[in-house]
Amino acid sequence: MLLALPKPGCASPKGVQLDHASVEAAHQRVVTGDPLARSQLVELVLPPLIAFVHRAVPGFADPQDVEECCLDALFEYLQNPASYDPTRARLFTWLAGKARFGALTRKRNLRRQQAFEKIVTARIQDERLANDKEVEGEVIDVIAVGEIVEKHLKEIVKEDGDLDIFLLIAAGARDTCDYLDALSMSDTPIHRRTVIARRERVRGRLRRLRERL
Amino acid sequence: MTNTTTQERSERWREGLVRRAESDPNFVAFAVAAWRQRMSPAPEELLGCAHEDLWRVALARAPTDGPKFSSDVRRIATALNISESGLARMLRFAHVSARFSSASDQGMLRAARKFDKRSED
Repeated sequence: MLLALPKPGCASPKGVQLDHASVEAAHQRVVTGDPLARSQLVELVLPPLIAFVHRAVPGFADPQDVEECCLDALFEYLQNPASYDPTRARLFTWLAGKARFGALTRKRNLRRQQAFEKIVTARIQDERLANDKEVEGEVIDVIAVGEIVEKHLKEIVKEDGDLDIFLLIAAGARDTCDYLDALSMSDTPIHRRTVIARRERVRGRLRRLRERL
Repeated sequence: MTNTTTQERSERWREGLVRRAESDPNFVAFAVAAWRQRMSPAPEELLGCAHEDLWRVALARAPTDGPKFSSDVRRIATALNISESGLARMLRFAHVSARFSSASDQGMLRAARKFDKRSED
């Protein structure tokens, strides 16, 4: 959809005046190398250009995105003023077309980026849920251990220290040193053998309990 | 309030254009940035212009290093009412630093050796 550009001398949105004759004259001076013409042309063209692109490509969350597109178009012109052909269009129309195209491209890219961010956010949420499941799993384990202690303590604990061994097994402890510490035993080969044997006895009771349940 | 906002907006736009021009050696902005980075006094002081007018100078086309250099510098200085000698100094500095930064290490060493030989003679 093409939007009608303001007519020469008419007021652009928000009271920005656009004088096409002055713009074309400034362009001629830019081409002939007048050092002051460039900044004068910027002053003439930039405010109505930005106002136009704001109207032509609405929906930017950040208005500076539109400004950047207009600055890109104008800078491209300043780099090579001869690239504009006055016989084909007015300078403002030519610049507005370039800026509008840039704004549409930027908008598309932003949309794509937003869609990608949505996917990433959804994935992060999934991961959080997965982590929550782990937490839930841990809670269930704790409840299960609590239930075993409450209902089946006598079947598991036969002598002093068996409860500590059971809790270490439930916590997933594998190092014999942990069991030695829990039973206040020094690290000697005899104690190690004793601890390993007791651990295996408790595990055997747990296996049997599971089979029964 | 509205005037201040409009002025701030205009300044932001000008800065946006100057920022783009600073990386293009065809603009005076390139020389202004190079000078500001390594030399003193501040560019506006060297050029004898107000800070608010520096963007006009920055967007001017930089004269190329050649026989027309002096006349082009004079033309810019007259049109923008700035110091001709200051602008010439700034542009010369930018040309030299651009050449130094683009020269290969071997080329620099060769140049240094030639200089050493000359000083020995």
